Amino acid sequence: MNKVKDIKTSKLFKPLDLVIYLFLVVLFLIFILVPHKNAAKKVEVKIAGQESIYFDIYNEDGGYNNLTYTIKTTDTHYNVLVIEDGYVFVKEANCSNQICVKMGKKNYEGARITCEPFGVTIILHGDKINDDIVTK
Amino acid sequence: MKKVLSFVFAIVLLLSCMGLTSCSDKYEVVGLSKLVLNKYSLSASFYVKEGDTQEKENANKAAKEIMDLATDIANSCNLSDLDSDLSRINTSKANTEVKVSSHTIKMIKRGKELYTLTNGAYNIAIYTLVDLYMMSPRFTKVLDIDGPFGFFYYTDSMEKYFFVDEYDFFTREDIERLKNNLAEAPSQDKINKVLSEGYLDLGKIIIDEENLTVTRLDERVKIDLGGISKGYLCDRAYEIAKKYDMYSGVINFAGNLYVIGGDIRNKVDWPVEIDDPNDQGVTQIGSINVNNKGVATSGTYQRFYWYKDNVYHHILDSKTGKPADTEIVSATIVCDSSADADALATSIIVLGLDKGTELLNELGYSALLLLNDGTYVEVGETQLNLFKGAIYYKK
Repeated sequence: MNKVKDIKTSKLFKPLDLVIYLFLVVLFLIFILVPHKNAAKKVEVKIAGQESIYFDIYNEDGGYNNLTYTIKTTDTHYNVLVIEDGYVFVKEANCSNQICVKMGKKNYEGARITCEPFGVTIILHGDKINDDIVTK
Repeated sequence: MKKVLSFVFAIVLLLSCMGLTSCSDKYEVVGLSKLVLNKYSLSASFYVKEGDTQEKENANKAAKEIMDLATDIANSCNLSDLDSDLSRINTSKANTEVKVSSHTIKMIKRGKELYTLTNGAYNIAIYTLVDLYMMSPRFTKVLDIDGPFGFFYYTDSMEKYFFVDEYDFFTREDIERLKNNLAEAPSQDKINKVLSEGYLDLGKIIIDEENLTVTRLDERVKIDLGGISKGYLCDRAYEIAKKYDMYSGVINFAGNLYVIGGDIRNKVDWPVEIDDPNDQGVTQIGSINVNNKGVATSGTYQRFYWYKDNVYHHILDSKTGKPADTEIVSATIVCDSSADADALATSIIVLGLDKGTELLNELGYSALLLLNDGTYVEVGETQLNLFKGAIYYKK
């Protein structure tokens, strides 16, 4: 108690100072603890047993590279991939559980959309070199 | 006044803490990526010092030059382009010189050397066998996007790839039966014919390095550089990167790599991840640390199809005429030449564990071999860092 009293009465630490310090500490902790999600730059479509296919989210001028691509895993199975204004999602698929469609829109690096019935994984990559280093 | 001072002090403290947490960001990534032949992803990425305009400019130049080079090399050995060096060689008359690029000559030359080194396990004259299994580009190419492996989409525009010479094993009736259908493995009779009648005889391919010409002594022998061209491109790309003084970066051409230096941003070697054969490469089992080397992997889990309850994968043994059937399901090779790594990754699977390890030790190359019993073997300096949850054991 005496210590608190000392702080309260000392000239350096006044009650308002404590509020400011606490505010800064909280700010610092938020900065450290909250994961930073960087915007994705590239989309990889992995189909079991095949070479990956890549799409850029941005075009060379820095604008959005909007496109729709139908992923065909057999002559009847399909997932419609849409890249639109920086977001990536599966608009439509004829798989049994529709989880890939329900996963919604993603726009940050590391995000994944999977369609297990058809063996399709859509991975969003950022601009770290490490994203690329898988030998095949 | 003291209050203001302490506030400023606190802010400075906070900012310096933030600065400390992000001190690893002194390097930025400069690079380019593109799809080569609408199919193979190529990326060239370099770390350069933040704000160093000269380094940044050099990195941009290197990346641009690598992208242009990729187009040149891909055009030389693209079997889907009937005007490419390779298509012209494969359709040339016997004893006729075909003028080609220096890249094509160098790839064929190294291919021939590797044939000797691997005792025939690596053979660039394997085209006819690959085609017999319906795994050549003419069977897998659908306009500009590939369909699922082992499914033969056929359009009238593909007619030009068929019935071009008398040595085609597929007749018009075969194509009618197979088109828009699943691939069929060849009969033993056809395999025997390919093996016994010299279709895979690499000795019938003669190169003239000075005049940049290739001559076939026998029209039955056709070549496929698919097992070396990606690695060769990485080697040339590495030379370009060094010409522009790049010291940290990665060249990645469809999973064939050349890593330049180490990861300077994190002051470690590059962690190169290895695909899990059990889920066809969707996840990775772990990583190996690589510094300034070429890396390539081949696996029986990639590019395969089922026919009559048997799996037919793309790593074919030119001696038996069948898909390689050894204990190795995936081979990752690490050495100074990405082209060698590319070609040997395939050959080691064909050779099997004992002969393969022996050859790698002889050449002084490092490798990581994944076996069909769920174990792995480290050869040379390679060490696998298994990811949490990966079920693989050291043999």
